[in-house]
Amino acid sequence: MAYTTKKSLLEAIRSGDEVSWHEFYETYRPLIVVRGRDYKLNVAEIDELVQSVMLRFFKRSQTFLYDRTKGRFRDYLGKMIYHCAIDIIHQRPRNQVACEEEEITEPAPDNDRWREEWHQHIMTQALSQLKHQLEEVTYQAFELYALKGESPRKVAEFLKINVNMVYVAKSRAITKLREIVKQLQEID
Amino acid sequence: MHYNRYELDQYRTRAMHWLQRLCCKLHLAHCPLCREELAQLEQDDWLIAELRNSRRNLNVAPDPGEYRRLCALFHAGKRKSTV
Repeated sequence: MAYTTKKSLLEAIRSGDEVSWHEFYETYRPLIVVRGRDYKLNVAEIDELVQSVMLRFFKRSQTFLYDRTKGRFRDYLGKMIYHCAIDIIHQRPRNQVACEEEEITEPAPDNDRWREEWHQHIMTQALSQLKHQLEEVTYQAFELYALKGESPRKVAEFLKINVNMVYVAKSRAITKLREIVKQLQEID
Repeated sequence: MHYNRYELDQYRTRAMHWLQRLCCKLHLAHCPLCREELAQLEQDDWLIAELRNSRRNLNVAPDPGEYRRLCALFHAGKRKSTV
């Protein structure tokens, strides 16, 4: 995914740049799956949901072009997933539909769970960008120490660096990460 | 003399020698700048916890054949619309 290493996918979508379908799929599939689970879809239905959302986005061409006049991408995607989920639920045998539909709430700008999931998505995207913006050993030190909780001494031994460098790596990574997260949140 | 972020990180994770920790503790009692830096490190912990949580919650198993199936469906749809 060379494109997303250079520029945020969201920023590209918002600026109307053509974005490859594969990048879009890789980036947003986890979010769609998690949302499908929120709507209590089963495994096969979640697969269908992913398919349905992707095909709706790309029905006219092999690339995705986001229309800015539709508002925030987050809300646009949330509504798209919701409508596709509703369609899937409507296809269920009659006796299953009624009680499931009551539990589905339409995604709205103040839908807390969707916002939380979107925020988590931003965090994972930020981490992905961070990996490409730091030197490999710096990122590895940060990941092992901060994210995986390994002791600085073990990390230093494993990476053959000074223990102090592990702390430096963490500090650098966190500073960079905050910048990336802020940028992603601003262009949402 | 102030402590840098790395030293403060070592202080709070008890990676410092006990005597160094004691000196640092005494220093922190009188230095608002270093206390501020320490508070920032604690905020970093929140960010890290969010990252871990995000990775865990959005850790969805990949479906290797799914993208190919999508492409096949998409192309099948295109062929239908041109007929």
